[in-house]
Amino acid sequence: MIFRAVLLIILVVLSNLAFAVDAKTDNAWWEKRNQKSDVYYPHNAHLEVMKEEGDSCLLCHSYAKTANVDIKKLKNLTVIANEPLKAVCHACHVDEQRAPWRCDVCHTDKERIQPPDHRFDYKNHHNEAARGNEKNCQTCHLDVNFCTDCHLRRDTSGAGYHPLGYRTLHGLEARFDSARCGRCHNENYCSDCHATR
Amino acid sequence: MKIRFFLLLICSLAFADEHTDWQTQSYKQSKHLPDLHHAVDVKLSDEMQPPAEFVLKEGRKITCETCHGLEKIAETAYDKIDKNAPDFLRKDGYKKLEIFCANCHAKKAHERPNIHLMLNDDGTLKKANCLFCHSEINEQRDKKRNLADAKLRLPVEKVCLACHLKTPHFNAVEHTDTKLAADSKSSARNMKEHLKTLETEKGIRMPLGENGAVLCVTCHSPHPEGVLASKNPTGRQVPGDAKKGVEYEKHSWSEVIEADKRDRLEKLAATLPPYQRIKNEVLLRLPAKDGALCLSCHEFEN
Repeated sequence: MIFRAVLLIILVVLSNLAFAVDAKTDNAWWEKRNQKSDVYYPHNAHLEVMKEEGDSCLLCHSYAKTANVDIKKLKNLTVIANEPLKAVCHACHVDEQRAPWRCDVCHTDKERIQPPDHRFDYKNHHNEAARGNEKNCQTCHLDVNFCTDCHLRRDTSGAGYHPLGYRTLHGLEARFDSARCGRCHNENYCSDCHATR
Repeated sequence: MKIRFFLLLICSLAFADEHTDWQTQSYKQSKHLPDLHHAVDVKLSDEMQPPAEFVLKEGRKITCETCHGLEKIAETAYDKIDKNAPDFLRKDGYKKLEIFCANCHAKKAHERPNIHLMLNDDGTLKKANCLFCHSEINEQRDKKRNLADAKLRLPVEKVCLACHLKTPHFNAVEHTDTKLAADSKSSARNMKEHLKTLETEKGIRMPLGENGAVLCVTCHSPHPEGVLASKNPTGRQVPGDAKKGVEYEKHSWSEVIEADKRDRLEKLAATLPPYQRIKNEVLLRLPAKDGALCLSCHEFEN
């Protein structure tokens, strides 16, 4: 029994020393919060809005009462309680569009949120998926301009897709594979110029 | 972290046999009751009239079966008892334990007084309430005092725990496990600076413990408004009716937040309380409702 008591004392002392080492090497919990994840979240910008709406830090970081006395379990729960994810952010930024709703406002690296099929020349191969389920596209592409900027555009010169001067050089390619032009341009796009000459 | 884990593992192995001996046996074999368990084989007084489901032994004595509905629980090894069984405690015992106890015990007689209500109607101190925490009464209510002079009966980091849980609300442990020691990182130093500025410029004191330890009383004022003079930085706090206590109201964000957490909570097989907006806040040094309390320490680059 004495051996066990001595062992316990030694272990408690060593454990406290180990904790001191932990405390020096690990970031404190509030510092981890500042580490940037894949989502950009400006706290200060939100503080003002939240205040106007009558909410505060407590909306996302819960201080609700708990009767849970198991500290280990409670810590796991607290991580969840402290960390708002998609549903909370999208409530304002996507669903209600009360807040800026461009994806890149918060998602600085778009590749992290892109569906896997978008990675390989999807700009030229989205036709089938878009016609099949337009709503699916709209979960991210909230602004219809995202489609019409290409599909109804008239000013092709220098706009990024075709090389500069393509308007004067497109004749051969258009005769060779007009269906390819049709992926982006409707027939009015041709006739607006060609029919008047 | 690894060192700690290793040491705790050795510790638990060294003491493992003592913990498990009685757990592999039944109460009848070991005559051992779990910690904080109600006594058995005691005779009830005549005034105590438990409900009919709470069966007593001859001579009005309590047995295991008085409170537990499981069959032959006294003959079942502790580690084989299903504590999640609906009838483990009779009459929905675990839904709210104090209600379960009130099946036999008079609830009113066992209620603790709210010692935070420290003022009589005429503004004088309810001295008996002061003496729950202090060994001496401070008659100079307008004078700023340090924690060391408060004559507390227990160390300041423990005095609240005499009545309250260490985990009364989410994020409590995360805060009270934090020490804003002077030699710590710049963010901690900034926090200490913020708190100093708050006192010198706004006259609000959020006291820290030894080594800059965050305490319950850093954010919460144990004294209601009027106990300490308002010009006393320790007495400055959110105005509110301490008798009413903290009040919350339902809010539409509750559904959004529930949806946000659902998947993660299912993995943990746990639940979180619904989001409620604070309606009435009391015994806080600064309002939490608008974030001012949090911002007294925390700052953000953007």
